[in-house]
Amino acid sequence: MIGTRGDRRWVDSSRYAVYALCALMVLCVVVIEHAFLTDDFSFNVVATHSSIETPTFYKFTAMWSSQEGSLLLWAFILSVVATISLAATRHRLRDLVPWATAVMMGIATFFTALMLFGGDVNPFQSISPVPADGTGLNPLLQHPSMIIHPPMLYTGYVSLTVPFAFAIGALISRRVDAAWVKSTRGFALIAWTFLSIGIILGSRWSYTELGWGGYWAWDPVENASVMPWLITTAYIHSIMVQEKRGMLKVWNASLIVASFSLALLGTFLVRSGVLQSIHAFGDSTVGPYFLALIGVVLIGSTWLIISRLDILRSERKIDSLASREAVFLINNLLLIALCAIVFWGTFFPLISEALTGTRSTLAGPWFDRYTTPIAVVLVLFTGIGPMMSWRRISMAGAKRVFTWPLIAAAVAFLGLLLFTDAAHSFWALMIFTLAAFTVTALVQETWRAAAARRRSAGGSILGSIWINAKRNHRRYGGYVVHLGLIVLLVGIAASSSFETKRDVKLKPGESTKVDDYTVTYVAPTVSRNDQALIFGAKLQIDRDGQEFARLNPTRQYHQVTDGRVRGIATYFDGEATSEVGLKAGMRSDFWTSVEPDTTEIRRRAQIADKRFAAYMTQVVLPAIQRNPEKRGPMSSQLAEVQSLATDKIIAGYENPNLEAPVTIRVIISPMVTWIWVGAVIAILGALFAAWPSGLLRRRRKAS
Amino acid sequence: MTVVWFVVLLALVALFVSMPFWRHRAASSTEDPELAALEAAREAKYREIRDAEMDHQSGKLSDEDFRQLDSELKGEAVAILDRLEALKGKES
Repeated sequence: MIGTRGDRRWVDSSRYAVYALCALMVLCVVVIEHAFLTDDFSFNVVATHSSIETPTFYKFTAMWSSQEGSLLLWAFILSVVATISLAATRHRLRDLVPWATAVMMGIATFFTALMLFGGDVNPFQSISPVPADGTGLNPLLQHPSMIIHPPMLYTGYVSLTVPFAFAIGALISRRVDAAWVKSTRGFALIAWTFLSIGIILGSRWSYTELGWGGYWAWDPVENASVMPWLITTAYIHSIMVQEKRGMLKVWNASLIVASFSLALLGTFLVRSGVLQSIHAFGDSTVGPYFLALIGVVLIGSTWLIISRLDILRSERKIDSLASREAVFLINNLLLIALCAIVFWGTFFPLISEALTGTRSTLAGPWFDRYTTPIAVVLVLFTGIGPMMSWRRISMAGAKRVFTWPLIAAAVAFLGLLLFTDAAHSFWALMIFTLAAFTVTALVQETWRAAAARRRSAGGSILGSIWINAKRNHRRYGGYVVHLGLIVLLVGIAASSSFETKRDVKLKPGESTKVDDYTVTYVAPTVSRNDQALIFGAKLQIDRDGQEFARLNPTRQYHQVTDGRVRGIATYFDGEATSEVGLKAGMRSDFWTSVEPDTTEIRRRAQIADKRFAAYMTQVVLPAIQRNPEKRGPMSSQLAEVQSLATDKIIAGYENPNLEAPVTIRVIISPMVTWIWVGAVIAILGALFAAWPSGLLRRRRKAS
Repeated sequence: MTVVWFVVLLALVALFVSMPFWRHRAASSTEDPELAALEAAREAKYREIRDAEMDHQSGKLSDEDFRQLDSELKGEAVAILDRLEALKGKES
């Protein structure tokens, strides 16, 4: 901040300090990762989140499954994004960069201080005596999506620090000009992309790992990730209005503050234990610190915006409601409304407890009831926005651009009514119809612009589309994002409205009919690895007399990690996870999970455990007391016998005489794959939009 | 050993962070914020003009609306260019 008075060397020095912080954070992460990979259980975080048996792959990712490790990841990512943003602006934004640096480093100080002084969240905390083995990693987190999902989501959350810091810098230095808009927009788009990747990977994990059959449960932590995403989406649109028309300056400053505050709120929710969630870290001492930070951010930013109202006045007013800026404003209001609903639903347990003394939660149907109509209108505006021109569109122009999309919507509506079951769900029918409208609008926009180029410059239509896209990454990247989101929403509408879900109880050899499919429980399967007993079911799925798929869903019972003496029966007291049997397709997914009846196996395991315990007290311990040297050989002998007994007992599950029934959950969901396809399209579009255009690259190179 | 590591790291960081102070006060160069803002505004205005042309060619804007909008936008672009010229003249 001293550098703002004239001597730029102070500013450069502060930038170097950020680089140094980044290097130190890299060093911290390397030290912790090394401890995980080498089973150094003198680190508390390693002892409580890994074990010798944890696969190496997951040892590497175990760092962010812990409260302290994920705080370190936050601080590490923050130092990286701060370094990148300051390196990118080292010759630009002279007045506001010092303030932005101060804000980013203020946040970094918060996180590093929290780790050092915030109680039990220091990743370098050591324990004594050093245990021989750790308690292991939560089996639910041993999934490929979990490797990349948390870092992506965190990168999204943390990246929002950059536009926030630059916005605060711009307000303090009174430089709310086009240069600020340009830089924050880019950072916000990158944050949006990472948030999108993080959210979709979380959904994928939920779908394939949690065994309940869905990809979105309106869980508080899921909601916490989608709220800043919604507000950042609104910001990315409204900042264009500021750039083109000099309007919505207060609105944009407020949105960027809101998105960063919501990112902090999301981090608070995951860490404080204030709301129950499968994704949360549980109770901890860091909650009040986060609340204090959110308070400081909100109060400080609000005061700053109010004190700068004189420079945030709109330069113009909206000329016409039939203009792109008016549509963007409506789209913004819809996104805010959506966020407000999610916020209310997420915090309702706390609100209800404060008002009535009883904690009540709002379930999925409540969220669906209020968010679905808004999502439908958003689909409509996703199509209308790109078709409008800035300032105003003429009547003839409107007629020209709306004709084909409206025809497409009408044809889709009638086709769906006449030839499909879409009419059974009003909202799904609306989404499909409006999706046809929007996709036609996007194709028409692209086509007409290419045709116009072709008329003036010649060439093929595809070549013209490519040239247009290369010259305007933002616009065409945006179109691709819109297309991806429409595909995603169609996937959500179809899969949630027309899914078939059945829980059936079958014995080996029995079959049942689910829709057009015959599900046969061929045989039970059982196996075990170092960490779990795995009970499954071989299923054969037939359709129209033809084999459609062979699936093998399993249920895995992990050994207890709470320090209890481990036996065979204790496998059933630990965490249980599902590995679903999935046949995914473009038309529909055939999803299965299994809940085996392990009553008989448990009974046998308990008997075996009792015998082992008796043998231990009557034979082994007295023998060791007589001759302590026998401890080693007897322990390994006992472990070997216990292992053989485990194999024998679980093998009984496959005994045809046992005829243990299993409960099989079958879900047939149409078009789920389109959710993932839509997300990939949207993310690619966002990357294309964020990529500097050729013109910009050349200009930067020249400068 | 830990103390040695701490001192070495601290010295390295201090050395690195103080590097800008070893050079002359005026050596650090950044673009003029006024200039940067005007250049960004010019870029945005050019984009707006191109968008308006595209909207006209694809039939969204009538000839009359386009003529009016185009002259408005070009007028605004000229004003930005004038301010840019004046600023550059002042600097040189």
